[in-house]
Parts: sequence; C-alpha cells; structure tokens
Amino acid sequence: MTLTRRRFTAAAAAGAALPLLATRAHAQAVKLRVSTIPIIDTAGMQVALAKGFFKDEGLEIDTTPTAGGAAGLPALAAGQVQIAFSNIISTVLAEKQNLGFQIISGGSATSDAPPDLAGLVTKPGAGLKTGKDFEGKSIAVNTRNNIIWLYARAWVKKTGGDPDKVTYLEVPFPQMIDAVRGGRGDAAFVVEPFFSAGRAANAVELVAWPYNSTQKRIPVAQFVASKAFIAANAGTIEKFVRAYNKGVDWMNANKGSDEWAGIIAGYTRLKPEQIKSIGLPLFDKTVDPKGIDETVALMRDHKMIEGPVDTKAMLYKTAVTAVK
Amino acid sequence: MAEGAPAIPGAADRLPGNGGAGAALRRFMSGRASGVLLIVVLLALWQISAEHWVKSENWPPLTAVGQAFLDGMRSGELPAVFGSSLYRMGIGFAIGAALAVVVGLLMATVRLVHRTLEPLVELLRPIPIPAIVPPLILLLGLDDKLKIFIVAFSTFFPVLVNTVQGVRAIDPVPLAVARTFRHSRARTLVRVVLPASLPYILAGLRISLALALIVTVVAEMIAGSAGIGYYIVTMQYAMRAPDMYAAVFVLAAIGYALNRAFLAAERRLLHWYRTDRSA
Repeated sequence: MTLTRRRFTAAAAAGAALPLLATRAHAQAVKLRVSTIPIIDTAGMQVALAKGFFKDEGLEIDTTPTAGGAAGLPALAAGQVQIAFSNIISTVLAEKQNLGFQIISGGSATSDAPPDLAGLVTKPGAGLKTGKDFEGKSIAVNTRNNIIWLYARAWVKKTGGDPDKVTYLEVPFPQMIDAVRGGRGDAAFVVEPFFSAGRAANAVELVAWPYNSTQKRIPVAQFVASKAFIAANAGTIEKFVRAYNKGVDWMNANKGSDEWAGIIAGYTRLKPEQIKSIGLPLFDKTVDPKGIDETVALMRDHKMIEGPVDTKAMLYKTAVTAVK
Repeated sequence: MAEGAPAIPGAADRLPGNGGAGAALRRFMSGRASGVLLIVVLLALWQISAEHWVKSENWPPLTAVGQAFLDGMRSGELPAVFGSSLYRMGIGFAIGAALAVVVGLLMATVRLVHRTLEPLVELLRPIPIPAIVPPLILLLGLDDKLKIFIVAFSTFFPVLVNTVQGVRAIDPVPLAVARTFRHSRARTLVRVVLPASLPYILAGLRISLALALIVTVVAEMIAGSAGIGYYIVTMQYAMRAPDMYAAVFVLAAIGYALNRAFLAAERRLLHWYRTDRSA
C-alpha cells in the first residue's frame, strides 16, 4: 500500500497527538457552565477566573452572562447550566415552588452601615423625607416583586407610610436618574454605578438608604445549584466553592488596586476610574441563615410568599462553613 | 413597487421647469437629496440638543458616538459583535424561509394540509417572542440553538402567509395550459406555480428579513452572551451610552444595507414581472 502525502501527514499528526491526548485524559478538567450577570456583584468569580483559581482546582468554567439575570434560574432548572448566580428573592421563590435548588456559596451582600450600593433619590429640593411623604407619590424600581421593590416597600412602611399607597414604576436602572430628572417619577431606588453618577451630576438628592435602614448585611445574591447535581458531584461543587472563595479573598485584599479594577472593567465594561469611585457590595463567602430569615419575613410581610420557608435547608454545607 | 422611488410617479416631472432654479429643485425632488437632508438635519439637532439642551448620560453628543464607533471598529470588537449576530440571523432566516415556502406551497395546493395547519398557524403567528423565551430556554438552552430557533420562528410566518397568498393569486390561464400539456403535479409546481408566486414570496421574505434582524437583537438582549443585543444592554449598564449608540447606528446601517441588497436581488429575479406589468 502506498501512502499518499496527505494520508502520511495525517497519520504523522495523529501519532504526534497521541501522547498529548494521553496527558489530557490523565488530568481531564471538569467542565462547568455557570450563568452569571455582568455586574460588580459577580467580581469574586471573575477574579477567580482571571487569576486561574478554577484551573488550579481542575475546573474549566464556561460562563454564560445574561444581562439582568432573568435567564439564570430557568437555565439551571433546565440543566443548561450547572451553577447560577441568583438573587435571594428569586432563590426563595424557587424554593417555595420546590424547584430543588440549594445555595452553594455566598455572593454579594449590602453593607453593615451606609453608604450602600443603592439609595433612594429624588429631584433636589423635592422635600420628600419619609415613607409618609411618599403616599400618593411614585418610586421607580427595576422590577416589581423583586429585591429593590421589596426594600422600597419595607422602607416606606418603616418610616410611617403605607406601602400600598405608593406607586411603583418599573424603570430599568440605566434610565432611573433620567426618569427622576424629567419628573416622570417622584423618586428612584437606584443602584450603582447610576446612583453615584446621578449624585455627582447633582441631578438627584439622596433621601434614604432603604437597604440599610431596613436590614444590615442583606444577603443579596448567591451561587445556586440543583440538589441533584450537588448530590452527584459533591467534589466538583467543593472545588468550585474553594476556587471562588480564593477569588473573594484576593479581591478583598486587593480592593481598589489597578489589577482589581482592570478585572472588573473587563467584564462589566465600566471604566476603571468609575469602578474605584462607586459604593461596593460586601463579598461574602458564606451565608448567614438569619439574614435570609429576615428577608423571608419581609417577603411574607409584603405578600410575596405565604407560609414558612426552611432557610437552613436552602443552604448546602459549603455555603455555611467556608471551604478551605 | 417596493422601490425607494418617489411616492407619486412622475410628480417631479410635472413641476414648472423654468431655468436653473427650477431644474435644481426638480433634481432635488427626484433624487435622494431630500431624504439625506432630513437625516442630516436630525443629526445636527441631536448634536446641538446633547450639547446645550439635554443633560443626561444617556444622551451623548454625536461626536462622542462617532469616536466610540471608530474605537469599536479599530479594536475589532464591533465587527466581531455584528458578525456573530448576523451569522445566527442568517441561519435562522434561511431555515425559517425555506420551511415556510415548502409548507406554504403545500398549504396552498393540498386542501387537507391547509385545513389541518391553518388554525395552528393563526394561533402561533401573533405570539410575541419575548413571551416564550423562558420555556424556550428550557427546551433549547441558552446558546445559538435558541436564537436560531427564534429567528426561524419569526421568519416563518410572513413568508408562509405570502406564499399561500401568492399561489392563490396565480392567473388560472397558465395553470390550464399546464394541464392541457399534461404536466405532472410536481412539474407544474416547480415550473408554473413557484415562479408565478415568486413576487409574493419575495415580498414576504423582505418583511421577514427586517423582522429577523430585530428579533435577533431582542433575543440577545433577553438571553444573550454575545452579539449586538447583548452588547447594547451591556453598554447601557456600563454607562457607556456612546458605545451603545454606535452599535445602534451600525444596526440601522446594516438593516438599510440588507434591504437594498434584497431589493437588488429581487429586481434581478423578477425582471420578467416588472416588464410584464409595464407592458
């Protein structure tokens, strides 16, 4: 049999590739798909990616960012991703529907004292100070029945107003400052970076910190996986959380550095100088069940859910004690 | 008749033509100059309003948008972003259009097929795609499959409806001739029915082409991790309005170019149709 040149080259290439394949198979990386949101809250994970912490654990992470995160939990339920970054309200609602998710690690939390990563703002000199003043007025929130809406209502109630007498306008975060400036809403509960930008431009005036005046260190968002996946891949989950925690540690140690700002700018597309000037969430490795309990109580109070929620059962062990 | 020609054919010719000014005016009215002028005026208004009247991060001056466009092109990011969207759109459009023509021909020629499919088609046709994205994620995932399906789904219906209409509107004479010559059903379909209904099919395709671009961007905004839609939303949340508008401008230009290209292709395919009509 005569070998044509092409066949010969192919055979040679295959032979050369063999040892390579063998080593690959030996230390085969476990692939994980993670649904994320390109916001500052997911910085711990992005740092772990950028610094190679996942690779060190033998994990190959493929992120599918979705703006707004609406696709996260549906994708997790469908098994399209193995891990999703989800806010606590959505996770609790999923728990009430018995979707079988568990929190595997901490994520972002609000601060213990102001300034917060979000604030309630009005036009300068609007004279609206308490929840009572807001009766008959409107507050812009990003979506109804989620975290911003819930804490806006909680703040109105706490400061003497009836939350049902306030109109909640759905306005996307990027347009909130314009909505207030243009008089299309009386106030907005707006997050960073729009919050700082609006204040810097003197377009709005701070009225209150609804997060902080209702609850300290709110567990805003966490990483979630399905119980079935956790049960079958306990080792992989532990590796993921360990790498993630390393990312959080690195970030908390290097906050404000150029490298840190560069990593965040890379995926949020924010300008590095802007990142250094805005209020940041706390990046937690674990979740305090008491914090979730408080949020759940608020959800019940504002009729988002009925009946009890077993918050302890929502937490996988890696979210309770930090993986070393 | 879908050309960008003057609304009233010959209107320009009827203007009083006395001397240079009249001729210039006539040229102005008959060419594209008035359309271009309107766009230039609107853009100038944008620039002035952004500099002097509107104070908002979301309303940057055009010069900033131009700079963002140049930066995006130079870094190669904008071409990459648009390439990935157009790729998905192209596949979805091709699948949706091909299926629609086949199903449309069947529906128009086989009564049972029409009776079976018509209620379903009329029920599915008005569904807005964003409403069914969550269940689609469940079935198709988050990747290209999802977006290609969405584009194919949206492309399908206008082409289908037009194909059925087109076949129905065929002049009975050529069909009778085909019967007289004892052409087989398949041969009649390919040689008579398909060419005769082509003007309708192409009109449907053109509607779908515009729709496909819009739907691609919307799908990427909801569940995208790449493409124009994702880029626009990301830039909005990153407070980079100039970059967002740069992408919007490119989008408009691509929509315009696709339409012109389609019209040119249509003119070549339907040369017989036009000469037929004007004869």
